[in-house]
Amino acid sequence: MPTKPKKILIIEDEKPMARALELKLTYEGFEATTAFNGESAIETLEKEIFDLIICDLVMPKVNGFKVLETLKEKKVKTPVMVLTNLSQEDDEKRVKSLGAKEFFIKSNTPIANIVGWITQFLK
Amino acid sequence: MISLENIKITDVLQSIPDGTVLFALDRQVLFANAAASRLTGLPQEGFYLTELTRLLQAKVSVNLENAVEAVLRGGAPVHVINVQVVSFFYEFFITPCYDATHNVIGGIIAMYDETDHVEFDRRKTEFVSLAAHQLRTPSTSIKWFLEMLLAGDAGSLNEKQKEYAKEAYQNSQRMVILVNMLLNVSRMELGNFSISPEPTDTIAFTRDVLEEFQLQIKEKEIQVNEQYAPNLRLIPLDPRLLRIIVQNIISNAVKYTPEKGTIIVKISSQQEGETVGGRKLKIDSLVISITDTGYGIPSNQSDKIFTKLFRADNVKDKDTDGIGLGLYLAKLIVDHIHGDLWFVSPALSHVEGELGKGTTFYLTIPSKGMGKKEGEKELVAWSKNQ
Repeated sequence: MPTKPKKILIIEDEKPMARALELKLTYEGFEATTAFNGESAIETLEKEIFDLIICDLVMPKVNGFKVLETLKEKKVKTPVMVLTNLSQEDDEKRVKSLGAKEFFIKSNTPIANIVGWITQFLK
Repeated sequence: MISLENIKITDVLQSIPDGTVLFALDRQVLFANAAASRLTGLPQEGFYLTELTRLLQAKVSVNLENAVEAVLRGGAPVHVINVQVVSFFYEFFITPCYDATHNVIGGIIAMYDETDHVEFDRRKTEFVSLAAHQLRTPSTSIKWFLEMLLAGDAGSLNEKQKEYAKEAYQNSQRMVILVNMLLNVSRMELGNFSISPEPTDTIAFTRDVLEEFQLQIKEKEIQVNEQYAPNLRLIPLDPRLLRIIVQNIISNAVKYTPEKGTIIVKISSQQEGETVGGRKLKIDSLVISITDTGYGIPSNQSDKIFTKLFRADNVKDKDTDGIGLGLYLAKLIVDHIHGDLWFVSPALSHVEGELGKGTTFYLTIPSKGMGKKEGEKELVAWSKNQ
């Protein structure tokens, strides 16, 4: 019996980035859902359970840090990978202290590496 | 009748639209014109220069006091730049005043308002920073889509399609690097970047950077000769900043060395007073030198090599990928961390057309390493997995 595809929530306000991730993850056999801002991501997370969250940091209104804080408050255990263009070491430390498992800088990372990490992580 | 003898000096000074201050040997201000008074909030007379220097930032204040001292002692005019008074920027020109027997009896400070220039430059840099930041998303998504296309995610490609997509992918990658570089340059110029030093093994670090260029080094059959001093201690350095500097120098060496050439990388620790690459070290330093057997740098262009967007004539046609920002950025960083970066090219001592004897770049970093600096932004280093 084929295993159920792992569910991934992409929180990303930039549509082309979200689309690329969605296509790549689907191609690799994952089930991808996109939330275009922090608010709708939190709403989606209240209704559905995911195996992994990919979270951007700079987003209007509810940014990625706020999303991570909310997940912590609500004791949501879904692992989070942060994918951002912020490259401050302090940002990396801050998101990791908020529970993020991994931190990738978008412009520095091939999409294959991102999906490769996810595949390995969800094994 | 008007003549030079019967014109009051204070009337002349008063009419000058730039701030002008006349002071005596004891540094008492004899007269500050209306513009100077307006600018500083000080009266037109009856105060000492210390009241003026108190208005300035500590470093500039010391510079100004030293400049006044030099003028009063030596008599030669002195130019002090980047003087900030409240939110305005000035250049101060300090000139001596003489008596009939040519003794220095005081001086004049002329204050030229540079605020508009400084502001214009800041806005330009801010625009570049913003534009570069905005370009990161589209350029990264183009790169990702081409990567997926090449990986066959949208169906297999024939050879010709693959070739075209590969070309586009490589150029999108170049665009990402260029955008990151522009962002770095603008952040450096705006000064709002941070320095986070950590104990660094410079040899392991340099080897790691060399590793990034293995593909090109193998392809061009370049010999790499590494000569590292033993027992070098760890130095507190910001790995991102160091990477940008070392990466740029090695990248140039690899790029501009023809096939079967040699690159020599040396790292050592040198004392103050020792001579390295023709320069006497002012402080104890870590020295990294990178020698190539490349095209060299034409002597008539050697003073421009660290300027923005400059590319030497003799390599423009050999490498169309160069941007002319790498060494400019490296030098900006090196200056900021009180190090030094220069080169020696044997071509310098030869007549034009006799290029091709290679170049040695020398990088010196104070042995005590980089100091921590808080800033809003960090520079972007790109890594080998890009």
